Amino acid sequence: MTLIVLCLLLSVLGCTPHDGTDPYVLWETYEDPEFHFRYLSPPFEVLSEPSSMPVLFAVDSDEKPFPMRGMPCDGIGARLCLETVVVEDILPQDAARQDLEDWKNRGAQVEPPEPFESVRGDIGVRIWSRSSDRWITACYQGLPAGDTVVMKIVGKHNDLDGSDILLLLQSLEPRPLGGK
Amino acid sequence: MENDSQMNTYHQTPLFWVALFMIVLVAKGIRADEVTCPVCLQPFSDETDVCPNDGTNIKLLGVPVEKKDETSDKTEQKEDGKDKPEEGAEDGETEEEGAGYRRHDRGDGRRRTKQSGSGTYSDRRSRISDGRLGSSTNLGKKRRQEEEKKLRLFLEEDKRLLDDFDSRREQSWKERQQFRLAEFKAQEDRAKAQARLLDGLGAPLTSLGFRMFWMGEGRSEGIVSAAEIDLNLARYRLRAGVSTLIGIRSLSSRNDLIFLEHVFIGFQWPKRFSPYFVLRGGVGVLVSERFGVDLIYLVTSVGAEVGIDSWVTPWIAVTPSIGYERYMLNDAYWNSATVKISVGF
Repeated sequence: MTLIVLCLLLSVLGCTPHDGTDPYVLWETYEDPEFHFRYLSPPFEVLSEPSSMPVLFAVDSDEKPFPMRGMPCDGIGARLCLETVVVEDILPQDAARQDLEDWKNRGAQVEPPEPFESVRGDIGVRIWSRSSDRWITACYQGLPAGDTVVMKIVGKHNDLDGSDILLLLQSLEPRPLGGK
Repeated sequence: MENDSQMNTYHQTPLFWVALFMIVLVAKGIRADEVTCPVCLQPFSDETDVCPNDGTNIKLLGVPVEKKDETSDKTEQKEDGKDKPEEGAEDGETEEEGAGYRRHDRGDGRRRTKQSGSGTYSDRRSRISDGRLGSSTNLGKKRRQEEEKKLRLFLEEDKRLLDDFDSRREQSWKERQQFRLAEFKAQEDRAKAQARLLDGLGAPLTSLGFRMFWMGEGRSEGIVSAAEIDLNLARYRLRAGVSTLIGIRSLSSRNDLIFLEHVFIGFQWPKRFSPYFVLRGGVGVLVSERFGVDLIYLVTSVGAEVGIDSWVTPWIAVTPSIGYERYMLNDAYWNSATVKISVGF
């Protein structure tokens, strides 16, 4: 009887291999050959097809549209939309400046780019844009081949100020999972 | 024959007079109808018991007055040939008496007494001194003596009352002391009975407590402050029961809500201070707001705890405890110490 109880106890203890103090302990990992990032699911749901670009996740989305070019998150009625895409032959600062111009031309308020560091210490760029009905924040990390991976989050203004958004952006690493 | 009778008569006549003389003498002896006070030398009737002047007991101490027989005095006076009383003398007074007694209302001087038998100098002196009884000084002295007697009696009564008061006060103090001792002993007995009653109470039936443990995230400690209600179903040597916990997990960026329901089983040593050891297992939920959405996670826990039920009264126990518990959420775990303080009934 004591042995059974002990076995049950050990099995229970063995089923939880991850330290709960890690902030990403409950997060999932999206893996791409060139990058990876962490996301919390729930609440994020995958909207895009596997291995397709852009990678779309949404929180409380009403639909699952097929990914389109441009800013697919604009057409999605979701509380939050996460879009990750690789832009070729451009540095992170240039890509950020281009998007700022586009948003500015659309009438959104923009803030100048600021340096941004991932959890592994990768230095990138982050930009902000505020319009009447939504805020956009984006993070740009440079890939080894001279490309830039962009993680863009679209949502209501108060949702983008939280620490969870910061964790999400910091989780973007310009390398495959397990890579250096 | 006639000569013989005449001879008898002549012989009997002197005997008659001798008898008569003897009778007179006896009569004088017993005829003491007046007595003299030995102090003031005043004559009083033999019916008088106490001298009114000085209070002398005349019955005992009075000197009988040798009163001359009037007939014999008169006979003597006749024999002396003095048939006529002297001028100024009262009826029945002899010349000598009349000459000796002077009436004061007629301006005559008088003598209180002609008795010279006891009229010595010292006696006369005592009669005129302050020590003589019957005078105003003597009355004052008598009054003083009476007052002194009253004072003496008063002081004696006062002393008696004081002594009585002291004895009653002492008695009252002794009684109070005995009462206090009895009360103290009764209190001691009650404490002993209570201690005996508290021994063997075991675990309280129910308890309400405050528990703390840790579920950190990142750099935040993640302290969980929770209220817990225990229900002990087995309370003597075997300790078993259920508990309900609700708490707040405090992180730097947010606060999560946690509910846990535990089952515990273990051993206890039932005493007034009753130590116990239990194994705990729990299941519950953690509610966390992430990306603006409330997420509910299933939480489980296993652990062990030691504590001590301290019965402060037969119906109230204070139980501090400390333990270890592993909280699990999905595939994450938190190893945490847990401390608790509760009050049981």
